[in-house]
Amino acid sequence: MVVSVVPLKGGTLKGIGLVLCAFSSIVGVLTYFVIGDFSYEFVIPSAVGSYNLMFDQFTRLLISISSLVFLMVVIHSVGFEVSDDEKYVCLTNLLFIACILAMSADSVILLLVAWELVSVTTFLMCYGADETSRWRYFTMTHMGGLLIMLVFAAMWSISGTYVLSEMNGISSIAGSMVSSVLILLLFIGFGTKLGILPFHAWMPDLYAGAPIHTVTLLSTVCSNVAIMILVKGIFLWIGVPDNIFLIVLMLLMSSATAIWGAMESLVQTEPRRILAYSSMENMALVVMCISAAMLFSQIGSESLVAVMVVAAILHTINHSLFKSLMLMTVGTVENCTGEHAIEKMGGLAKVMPVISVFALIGTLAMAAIPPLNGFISEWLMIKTLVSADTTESVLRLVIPLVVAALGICGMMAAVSYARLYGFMFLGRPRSEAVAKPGPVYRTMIFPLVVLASLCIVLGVFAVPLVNEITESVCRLFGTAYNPSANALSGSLNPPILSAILLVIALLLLLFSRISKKKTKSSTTWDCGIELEKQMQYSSSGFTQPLVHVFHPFYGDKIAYANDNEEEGSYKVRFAEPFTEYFFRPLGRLVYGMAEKIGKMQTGNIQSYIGYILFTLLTILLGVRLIC
Amino acid sequence: MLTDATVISFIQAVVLIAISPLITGLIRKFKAMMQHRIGSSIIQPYRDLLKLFRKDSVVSESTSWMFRLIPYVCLSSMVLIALMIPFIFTGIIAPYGDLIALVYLFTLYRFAMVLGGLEGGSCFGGMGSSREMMMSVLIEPALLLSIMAIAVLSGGGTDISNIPVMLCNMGFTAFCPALILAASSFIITMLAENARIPFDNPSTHLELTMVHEAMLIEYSGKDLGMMELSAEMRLTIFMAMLCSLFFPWGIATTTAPSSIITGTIAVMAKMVTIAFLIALLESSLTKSRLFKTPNLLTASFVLSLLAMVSLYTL
Repeated sequence: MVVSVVPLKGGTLKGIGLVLCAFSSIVGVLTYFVIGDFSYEFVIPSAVGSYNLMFDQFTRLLISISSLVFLMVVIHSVGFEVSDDEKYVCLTNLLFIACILAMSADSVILLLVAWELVSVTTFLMCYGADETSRWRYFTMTHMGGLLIMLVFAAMWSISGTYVLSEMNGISSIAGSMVSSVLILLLFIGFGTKLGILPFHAWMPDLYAGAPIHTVTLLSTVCSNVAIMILVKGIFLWIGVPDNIFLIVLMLLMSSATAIWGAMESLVQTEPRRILAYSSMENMALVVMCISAAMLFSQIGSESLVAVMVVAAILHTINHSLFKSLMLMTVGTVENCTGEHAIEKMGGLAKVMPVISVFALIGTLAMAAIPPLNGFISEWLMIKTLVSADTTESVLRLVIPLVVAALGICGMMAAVSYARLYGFMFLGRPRSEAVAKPGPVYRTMIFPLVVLASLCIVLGVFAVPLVNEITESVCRLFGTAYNPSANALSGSLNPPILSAILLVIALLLLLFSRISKKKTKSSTTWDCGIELEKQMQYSSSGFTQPLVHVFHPFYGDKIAYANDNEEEGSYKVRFAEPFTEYFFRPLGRLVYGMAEKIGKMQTGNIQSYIGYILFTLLTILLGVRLIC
Repeated sequence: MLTDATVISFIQAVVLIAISPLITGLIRKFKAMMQHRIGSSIIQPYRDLLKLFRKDSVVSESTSWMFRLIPYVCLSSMVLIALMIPFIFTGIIAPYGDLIALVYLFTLYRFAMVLGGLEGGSCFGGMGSSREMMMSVLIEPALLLSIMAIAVLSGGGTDISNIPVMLCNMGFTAFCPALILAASSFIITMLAENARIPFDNPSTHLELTMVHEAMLIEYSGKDLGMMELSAEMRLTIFMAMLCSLFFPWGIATTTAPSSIITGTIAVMAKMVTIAFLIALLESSLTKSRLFKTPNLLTASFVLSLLAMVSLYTL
């Protein structure tokens, strides 16, 4: 049921905030199309010089895509109710500014402040998520922020300038060892936001509890910011150091993350958790591309570096489109039915056919099914990887392994998305609320229409987009852009391929119309037993064979939590092994140590003065000995 | 515009589509002969399809709008693949996709079929889909890797029509470990992908051993006919890929009549041999337990990975 009159839930203040945010994101979308490259200097008197902004083509492209997602999120959020609406909208505005500033910052201080602002606003926007997961996110993202701060401070002191665009490959000054450490720290620093193993522990819980629009922005726009700074940092500001060990380590970490994300998403019982792991998997693929590009720049295939970075950026863009589509679809379904667990859904394609079409498009795009956009970026990744021609024997071993990792995580992810769509929308309803969902507002459908059509258009007509990305990446790297050497030209022609597919399907449809047969409607075949709503395959049962096969990776622990709604019912969830076996023991260790150290705290002023004296003496002696 | 090559490649695609029920019939006939039965005629699959296309269909009330579209998606993806692979002649009518696209089109087919199994909300369909997905997690990467290994081996990139030509030109140097490893991985993949013994039994219905048939349980009449036809086409396409990508010797590389005649004879001989081998395998093996199949599938994955690694390291 689609309702066209949309009640604006919340006060006028919320309305004003939404309009402001929509307006600024429209301006953001136009950045790429209307204005050219430009830079701007904030004249703010300060001790650390001026605050520069720089909008080059690469930045503008990502700003446009991120603003588009932002606009869609804002439109989608009109009919939603969040506690503290006005504050939420205010924070959304702030997050938009922070993201744009972080992407376009050209001075170290501005970049760090903007990135910090992104972290803090997203943390504040996570109402509803339970306190543990919020603080886990806060801690992890700030640990990452600290590493990033360290890296940029080091870059500043090495290069002697705070203007980022003036740092042209400081690795030549800093040497291989220092710049490798810097890149690793940068990788881990942004990896905490992207969910690189084991810093993904905050993701599933936060995604499950936070408002859907926060989750959408966190998963798409914030990831875009992180990827953009990472690319610029590695290839432009620091420069790829001559260190194979670092690159192999990064490839290993990202492949492990991708496979882990895909595997864990198979056993999740809430759509949002599935999408959280999927986000992690996709971002790992992007980082894998970046690492592969570093590898190519080391082994001398310079032409492939740009193509691999293009693949990474293309996947980032595609991810932000299909992931925001899927997250908002899930948000709409949850809003209309009130159900969050996949085991309570089912049969929604019959009662919400419009939403199910968009969900299907999003699912197919995520699963990299041709001719949608997810397929194009995965195609570009595999194609570029196998076309690498290396002579160094150790590295030659790496490429097939990376392709294998791509294949495995791609297929696992596809299974997981088939399960997501199949158990949300197909089958028979598993609860009363799902059988009779509430109304859907036009404002909730419009963003889905836009994003779903973009998923199709950017899949079928990917060539212009790839050209734009290639041009901007080439200009970023300062290499010559050759329009005829398009990464997509040659063996794949998506428009004609999809046209042929469509023509064949239409011909078949026409052919089958020649002899029109009657179609009877009947019940699902039930072996003579009346089927009840629970008498169908469950989503946990669906992936049970896979869990059986990959048993050692999942761990036995199953978390039980009482469900308040029904008497005697319970939730089953596979515990995330990294949280259970790594972070919890770590936390206990820290607590234990803190308690031991806490015994020093006697409350006696004399002993405190004693501690101070002791510390001072130690420091002074230490300084004396070193200098 | 309408060159000889275009006409021939169009004809070969039509032939490939047309003979797919025949190949199924042939395998059944071989099996019957091995079991000392007379067996049904080899054109029986055509009769079955014709009968199904003439019947009305029954559709479950619980299904959504997607249910009736799935047979069309499955069949058209298979027809598209048939247009994309060389069979008798190295030229192809639709050179718009490459090997990677080919693998992902198989995924489209599988994805549609799995979602079709979940429609209707029956336990059988769900079970079939679940098992199919378990196998596909191991099959699909093996398929991708073995095909990529051939692409790297031939040095012709990922263009499909280049590979047979390049391999033919390589002569005996093509018989390297990578080819053998990739081909053996591909054969296992072919059996698993097409629901043959030891992975699934194509001749059982409504038993708990089944994978492929369970997903089709809600389909009837014309829809079932289309699903059956696309499954038969998938088997034929896999056999044709084995013929023309892994062992392309004999394939017609020019449009000269003598070359085409040799190509036709060679490919038919290869297809009959593969059909015979499949029948032999199915008569001498039993369907293995569901949780034993991952062992074989992992072996297939490792073989394909070794093929790839051997190309880069040897």
